[in-house]
Amino acid sequence: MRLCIVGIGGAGGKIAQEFLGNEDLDFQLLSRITDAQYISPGMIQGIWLEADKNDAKNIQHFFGDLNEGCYPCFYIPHDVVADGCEVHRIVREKYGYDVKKQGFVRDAQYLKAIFEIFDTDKEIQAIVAKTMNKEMIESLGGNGANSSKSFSQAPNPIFDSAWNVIRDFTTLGKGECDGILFVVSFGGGTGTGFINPIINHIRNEGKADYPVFALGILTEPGDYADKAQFSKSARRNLAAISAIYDLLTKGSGANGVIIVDNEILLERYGNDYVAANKFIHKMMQPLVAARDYPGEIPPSQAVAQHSSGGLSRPPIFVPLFASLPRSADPEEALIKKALSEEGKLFGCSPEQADFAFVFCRGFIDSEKIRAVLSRETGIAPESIWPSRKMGEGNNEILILLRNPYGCDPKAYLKVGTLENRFCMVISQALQYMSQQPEDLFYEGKQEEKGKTDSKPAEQVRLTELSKQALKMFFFGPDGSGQKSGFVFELREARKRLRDGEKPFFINPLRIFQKVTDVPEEVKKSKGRINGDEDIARIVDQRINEKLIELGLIEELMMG
Amino acid sequence: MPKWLIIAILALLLVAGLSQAGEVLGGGDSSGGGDSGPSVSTGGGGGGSRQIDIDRLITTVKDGKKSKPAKFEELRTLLWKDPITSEEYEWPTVLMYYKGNNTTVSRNQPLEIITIATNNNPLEMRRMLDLYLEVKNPGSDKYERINSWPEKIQTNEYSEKTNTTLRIWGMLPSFAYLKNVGVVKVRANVSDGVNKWSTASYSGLKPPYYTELVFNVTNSLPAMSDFNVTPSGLVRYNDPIEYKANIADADGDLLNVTLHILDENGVELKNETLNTKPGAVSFKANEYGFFKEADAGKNFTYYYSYDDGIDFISKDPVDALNGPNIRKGPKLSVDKLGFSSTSENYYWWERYGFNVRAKNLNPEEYDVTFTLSTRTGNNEWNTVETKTVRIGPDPVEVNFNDTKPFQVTDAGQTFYYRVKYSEYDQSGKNAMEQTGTRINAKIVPYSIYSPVMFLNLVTMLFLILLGSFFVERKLKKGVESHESASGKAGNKKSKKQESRDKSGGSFAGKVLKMLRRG
Amino acid sequence: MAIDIPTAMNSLFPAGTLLLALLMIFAAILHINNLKRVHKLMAVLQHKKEVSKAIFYKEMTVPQGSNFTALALAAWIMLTVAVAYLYLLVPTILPFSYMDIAELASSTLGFAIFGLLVAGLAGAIILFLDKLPEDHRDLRLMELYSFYSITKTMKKTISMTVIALCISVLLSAYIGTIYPAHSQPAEILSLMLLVVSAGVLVMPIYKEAWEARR
Repeated sequence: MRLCIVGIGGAGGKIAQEFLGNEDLDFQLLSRITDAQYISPGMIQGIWLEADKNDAKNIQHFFGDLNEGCYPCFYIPHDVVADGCEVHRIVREKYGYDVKKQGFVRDAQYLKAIFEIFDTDKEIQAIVAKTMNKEMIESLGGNGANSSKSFSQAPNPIFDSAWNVIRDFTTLGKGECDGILFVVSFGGGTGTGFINPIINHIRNEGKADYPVFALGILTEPGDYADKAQFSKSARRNLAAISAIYDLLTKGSGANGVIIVDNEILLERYGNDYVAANKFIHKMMQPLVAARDYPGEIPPSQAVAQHSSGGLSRPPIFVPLFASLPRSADPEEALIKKALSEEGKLFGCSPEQADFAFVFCRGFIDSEKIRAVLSRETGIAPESIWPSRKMGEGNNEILILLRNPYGCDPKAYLKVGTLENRFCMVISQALQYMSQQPEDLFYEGKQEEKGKTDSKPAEQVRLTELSKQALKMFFFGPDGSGQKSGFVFELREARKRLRDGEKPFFINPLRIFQKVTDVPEEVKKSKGRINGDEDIARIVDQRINEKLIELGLIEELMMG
Repeated sequence: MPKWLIIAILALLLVAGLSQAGEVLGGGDSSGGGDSGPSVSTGGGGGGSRQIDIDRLITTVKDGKKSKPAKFEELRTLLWKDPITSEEYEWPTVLMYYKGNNTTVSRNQPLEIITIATNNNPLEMRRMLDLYLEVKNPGSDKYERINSWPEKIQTNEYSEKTNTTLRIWGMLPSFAYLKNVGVVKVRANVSDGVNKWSTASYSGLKPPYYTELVFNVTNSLPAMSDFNVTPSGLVRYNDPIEYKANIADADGDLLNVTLHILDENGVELKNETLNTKPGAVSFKANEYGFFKEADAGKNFTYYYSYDDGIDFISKDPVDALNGPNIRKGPKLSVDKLGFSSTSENYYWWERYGFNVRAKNLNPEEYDVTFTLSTRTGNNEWNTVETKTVRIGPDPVEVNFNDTKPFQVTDAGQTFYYRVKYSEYDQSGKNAMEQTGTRINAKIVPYSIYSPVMFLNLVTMLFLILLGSFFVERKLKKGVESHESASGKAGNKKSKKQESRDKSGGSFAGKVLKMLRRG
Repeated sequence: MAIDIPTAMNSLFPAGTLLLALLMIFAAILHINNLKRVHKLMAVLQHKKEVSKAIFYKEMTVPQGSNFTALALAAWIMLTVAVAYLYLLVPTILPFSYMDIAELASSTLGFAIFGLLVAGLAGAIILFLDKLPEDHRDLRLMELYSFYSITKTMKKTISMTVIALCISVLLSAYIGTIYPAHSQPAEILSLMLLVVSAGVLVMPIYKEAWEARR
């Protein structure tokens, strides 16, 4: 499987940079003579999506401008909307959201709101269609190419353009990547707002089995990174949990969310973010590197199937990583190390995982891996899927445990469990929302400073329409947050975590509703079919049943 | 016929004869020995025949030979028959025999002279013949005996059928010994010990039998051709002037060839004679000292005379031929041959100068050509330069400047140099030679920091690098060495290669397919 | 005990030559052995009788980049040229040499022609090896490094050997220009550069063999 790495935001870009380094020597003159291609390890390709133009163009020098034909490249999707154009103006006038805002408010809802504005507002859709003509959109990566698909989709220029630049790297376009890995930080600003809209495009093309993963670095608790992130801890946690919520509740969305705890990285590397990024790259090598065992190249569809097949919502994958020098019979030692505290990159209970991907690098016996992991964790052997690559100096193993939590009501009290960590994040987010509700509407004391000049950033002034929508989003129709709304959902999620239920994020939420949409409080997912997403989810289930009936899934699972 | 057999037969006859006469040879031995002899049965009296056992007779004779040798000798004496000379003895016929028709022969023509003898007498009457061959040469009035010792014809060598025998006179194979030509007569004299006669005494003979052989002996005249004097044109008096010609003689005689050299007025100045067999004739002027320095400026003519011992040609060709024409020239005095080099390193690639001093010992001035040559080791002389200089009584320095006489193969060897001139010097030579010095063994003419070496190395390195880059550009090994299973291009390529690999064929075909791959 | 410097110097060259030869021979053996070992291991780990070599090589090779491959190719060709220059330029080491072809040796571009001929021959051999069937990819010199994981630093070092080999060629050329005079320090330095460069070029093979000991 060859992944397309899409780094989003600052952290995503820095991590993507590690993946997209050039294996070849960088001599420009020589490259001209040899007609050298840019080659990344594992033949990975990728792109960096960023909203902050200054960050993209001036601060870093690794990514070049896609519009100038550079590779590796960055792309600023917001540039598709011209400054001061009618779309820009209307959105700001009507909703108060500035689609061109540099360096977003550290707020996942901001981009979510912008997406949903384009998704729901007919007037704005009409203006987009009228003012941003097809050719311009296409040349900037617009929606025109997708118009023939069966699912009608409102033009969403920012996300459409982002998708179109990514598409060209994938087998859905002219490229060779048969999977996408989004790399984001949970708690950042640019963050996850892009992921779900892009996944929409992929799924809307009928590619239910095209693997899309998100690798997210969960911001650490505490104020350590406040300065670096230009945002307080509580706010970062709200942004993080908002982003995770959106990812984990979107049916027919990502095939999995791989989550890494930045707190663990900080413990290991301190403020050496470069080392931490390198570690993340190293950790992912068993998944993305080349040199598969002959005949053991995992088809991307199979990976997608095994990741989220049979599940109604994207799962959480917790990575466990170990690297040991080459030795005879390394399986036992590798598994044990990966399962130890040293190997875990997020709190989890391995024995609660319902599935495990085991990506190995080195000379490793897959049967032994299966046996040892099953023995150590209690996961059924048929739910363990090893995949092997030939290694380098060390033997390495990356275990992705699917949904390694639940079934233990006391788990949330134990440090080092997923429940504990999420409860902490949720609690902080709830605390923030209760203590500084005005910040949710960007009306609070401006604590955020601009990244370049350290002056207070320009304040967002939402319109009443937006505020109402946000209020309903956060606190429900009654505004209390007791019965519905994001606050309610977070509390419920925390309760589920404490009760050991899974999944814990259930209901997708929107800020701005579609005209045909039923209000969210009516839309419960228990047994009633509502909305396109439920339909898509049921259709997925039906497909899975059919594949099981045909015996295809079983064969693939036994590997 | 062996003697003992003759004796046995005679004994038998004798016994047969005696038995008819009535006498009996009986046993008892009165002469000694006491041995009983063979018994012979007697017949009746009164004229009856007595049979004699011949086997016993022979046995008796044999025994007698052993046991009574004296008696045996007596018996032999009795039995021996003395040669009988009868009045009916017939003289053997001895004739000359010649197979050929043509009796006109040249002196060197090979001959086969035969004498045939026929003897019809009985064997016991025959006598041994002594033959002598006699020849009468041209201009002579008497026959001369050829063989000192007689050729003997034995009594028993005649053919039984024809009673004939012959003698081939090998001592007269031809008439090459003759000093004159003319009629030659050949006959044979015979003696049987009693009679003497000659083959010439017979008459009425028809060929191929002759009383005497008469030959008309002739002589072939030698002839000269291909007259030539080399070198042609004007030559120096001491140049290797050579008179050449060709002389032929059908008889193959030893010839005397004389060269006559005449001056411009036709007066003979000198001549030289050569004894030679037919073939090429050569007179080298320097060997005979035909010309001297004083002959410079003179023109000469020549002709030949020759004989084969019988005939003499006094002048051939009739009109004397021209040559040689001796030219005038300087008498050089040459010295101070030397050389110089660009540097004391004596590298092969350096330029060298050579010089020699020359003057004419005569007062005139002449153009003399000087040729400079060099060599190294045992190689051939290599001509470097030639120049023509006017040489007069004053010494002239002949310089060969700025020459590049050596090649890289001469490095490390000692060189020799020579100046050859078109005239002769005071020592009679036309060249002067000296040993040079050892050429430096250094082969590469450039130093490492010279622009040439810089060009070499930079060019080479640049081309290697560029070549490598373009090879990679063409083959794309840095990109395509890994064909991903999921890569479309990789699959297509591998399928192509697989289909090629599957098709079999010979080893050569497989190799060709391999080379065409990719 | 006093060290006899001239003797030591005299023995350095043969020792260096031996080291170079052994380095290359063992590198070839180890390379084939490395791949054989991994190939065997694949069959064992996949519980198969045999794994197709062509497929195995296809999966094992990774692209190292055109710039690096081009420079590596140049380095290998330069290595052969440097060896030819050191051993075949003057007849002090072997009985036959470039100097025996006197016309070439005295030619203005003789050195370049000699070097290019050797380079051409090496290139032809490399290109011929490149045509070997898929089962024999291990013998393709141009794909040698695609079997190994090579860090960027190592790649830069390998690329730098081109310069070291250029210097070796230069020193050997110097020896050629002064022939029949001789410079032992230049000879030894040239050999040292050659050995070091050769060692760098085959370092990934030895590294892999060393790591595989476990």
